[in-house]
Amino acid sequence: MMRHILKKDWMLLWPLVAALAVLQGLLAFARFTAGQFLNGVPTVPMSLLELLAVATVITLVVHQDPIPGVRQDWLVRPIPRRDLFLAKLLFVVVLVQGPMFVTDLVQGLANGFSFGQSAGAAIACAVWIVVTLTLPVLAFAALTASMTETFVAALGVFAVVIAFVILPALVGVTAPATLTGFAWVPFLVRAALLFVTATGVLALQYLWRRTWSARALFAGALLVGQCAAFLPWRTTWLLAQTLTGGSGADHGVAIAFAPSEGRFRLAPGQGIDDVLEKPGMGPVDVAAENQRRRAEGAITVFLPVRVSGLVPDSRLLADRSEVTLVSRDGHTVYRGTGNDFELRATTADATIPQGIRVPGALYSRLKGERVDVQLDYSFTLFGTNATYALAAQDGDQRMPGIGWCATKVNDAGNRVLFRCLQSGERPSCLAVVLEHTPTRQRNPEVSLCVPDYTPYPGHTFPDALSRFGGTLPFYDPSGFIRYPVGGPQLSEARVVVTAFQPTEHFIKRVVIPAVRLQDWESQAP
Amino acid sequence: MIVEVHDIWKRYGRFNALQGLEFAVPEGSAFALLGANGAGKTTTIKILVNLLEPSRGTASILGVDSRAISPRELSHIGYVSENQELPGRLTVGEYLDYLRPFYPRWDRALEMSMRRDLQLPANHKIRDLSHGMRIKMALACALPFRPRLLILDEPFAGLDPLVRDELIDGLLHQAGELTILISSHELSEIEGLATDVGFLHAGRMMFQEPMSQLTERCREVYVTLDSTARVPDPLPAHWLQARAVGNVLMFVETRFSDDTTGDEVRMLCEGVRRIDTKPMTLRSIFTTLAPAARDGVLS
Repeated sequence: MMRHILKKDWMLLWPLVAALAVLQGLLAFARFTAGQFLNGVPTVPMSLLELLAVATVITLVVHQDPIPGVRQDWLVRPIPRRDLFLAKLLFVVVLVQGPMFVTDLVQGLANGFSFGQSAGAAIACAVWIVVTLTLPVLAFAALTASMTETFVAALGVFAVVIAFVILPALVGVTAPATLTGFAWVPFLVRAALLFVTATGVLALQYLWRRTWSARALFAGALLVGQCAAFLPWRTTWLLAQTLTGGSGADHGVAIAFAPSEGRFRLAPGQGIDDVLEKPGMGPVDVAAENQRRRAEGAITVFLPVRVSGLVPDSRLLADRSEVTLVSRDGHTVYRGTGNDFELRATTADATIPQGIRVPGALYSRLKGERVDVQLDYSFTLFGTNATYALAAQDGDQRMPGIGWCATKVNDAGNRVLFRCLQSGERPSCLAVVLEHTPTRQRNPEVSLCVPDYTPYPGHTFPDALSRFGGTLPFYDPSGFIRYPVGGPQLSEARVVVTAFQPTEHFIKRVVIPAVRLQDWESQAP
Repeated sequence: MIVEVHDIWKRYGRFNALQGLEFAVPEGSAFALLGANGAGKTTTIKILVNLLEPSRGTASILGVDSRAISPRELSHIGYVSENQELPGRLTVGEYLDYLRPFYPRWDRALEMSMRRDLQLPANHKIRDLSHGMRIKMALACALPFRPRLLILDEPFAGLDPLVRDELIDGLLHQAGELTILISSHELSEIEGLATDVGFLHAGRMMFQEPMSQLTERCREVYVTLDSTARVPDPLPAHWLQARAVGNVLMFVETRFSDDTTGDEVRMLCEGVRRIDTKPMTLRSIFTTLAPAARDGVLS
């Protein structure tokens, strides 16, 4: 019977399905022709349009035989509900997701990746789309009887989601795992919740037609899912360790207060606004944080801490640093987070200025007093995975484990653009450096770490390919910085790429007694 | 009994649409469910085919609890409703093609003859059909599999007389062993069709009986007296709409019997010169009983 239902839906919806497949093909073609350099291709808006189109087709196929209501003809026909659901699912998986899968696979192959790698990435991407898009949209559509109802309900869902973005921001609450490599934990929790809810809703609707119970389940799960984004850090970390089987060993890495290093001095041309609070923050995040800091009247103090026991060429990333200030009489006066840092070890020891943002009012009260500072770090240690090099100008190289990378000089002629394509996920952490091949002189290393410790494949958007890269400056028009490898050396220069692999996550605590905060404000250059 | 309803209640918020409804439909009958708007006819039918769930009580259809009817039972039930939503984007032919495989007993010849008799245009999209054509279409989708039970919920509402006649002809043509449960306001059309009637009022079944019995027991009675007529006080509960004009007393006897009605009239009225009785149409019976039921005077 499934075949008859599928045939009927196809007969009614084939023009839309065909239009969607054409859209998907065109988008894939646009991405393919752009290669590594997607500049000018509005990937995100086009992909959102594609997802909206996919959601619309899924909703329409469900609404060919809507579940809520008492007037639909199919309800009094001997149509097995299980067959009906399977027909809808098959329609979506084969006719809506099928073209997506094919374009992902073809794109991977056309970009020179092996069949196994391309197919693996396309399958992983498809599975994630089923869990996070197809099933939830199927379930959502099963709760409504018409596109109008769906649109109104979707507006309601959107309002709830936006409320959970705006309200916490207004009261200064941020999701602890945001912008860290552990963001996959709340994502996985939400994806699991989404899957269970969608399955529950579909069962309630297709097996028992319990529309109000199904709607209540969906609404409850929506609220719980939004709250899950705010999973406490400790829970997130423990869940990650449990799910990945990490040992939590520190591999001999130690950390201690190093007052002898003195106050943190900003670099020439650098302001406090330029100090990143988390590695990998984009300009929008930086602007938002600076705005928040100014609104709080917060002052950032920098405590020098020395990290020892590092293996040269490794990287240490503080995924989170939690700060507790305790007054001399033993009362906790502040709990917050410090700046996260990323350390590239060239020797066994390194010192970093641990930034701590203290709210203005508290700082005014405490700045002259002595307080104990407790720093609780969650660290990730990265080991070197592989190193490659490619020409700085018009370089083009396939690097196993990294992807297919290319270089070119930007239009302004002051930076080398380094861009890569990878089938499946991008490597979590890369460092690139511009090196003059004959003299081995190097410009400062650029970190392309966007920590993501996801232990399973499939986290790519909008397709099964990852696109990543960075820019390597070689000329500063303002004259503040002079680069060892500049424009004249560029023809003999290469970009050295080092990939790092997260090897261990561990926690450390540092207690610094009797600190006077005002002694550790930053110094002008 | 092909349909049995026991103490069914249906609540919508604080409103009781059905209040302990009881009735049964004998196999092979054409059972007319009568009642004013809001009496609960459509709710009852929707409960029977599991479109709605009763708040309390049980209903069985083809011997199965209505809440548990499966495709197996549905393949023996034809259903036509005035507000049935058919897939408008399919053509008449496409929809029949779609339905056919779901019914093992689908009679292709019967389908073709119905399509011809009802003049259904195979290539027209269902959404482009008029209301009457859509009802005919629904009927054409409800009969070719030769159901054991055909449920018709206000099928004649809003139809012009010609279409109505075509529909009734179509139904009578196929009646045979078919059991029909029909709710309708079109009493004159039902009269030629129904073998049994149930009268529903405010969610309760006021009575249920064979049509022949109902028309037998309900009579217009004209009593000619020697002198000026007066309406007896107290009036027997089974005498409805009693009025006196000159020396004639008129009323509707709801328990008419050749043996007893005359005696009862003579006992209550003096100087009875003549008693005339007149059979009633279903419409007249309904319009007499409905207000009485509403006013709580129906015994």
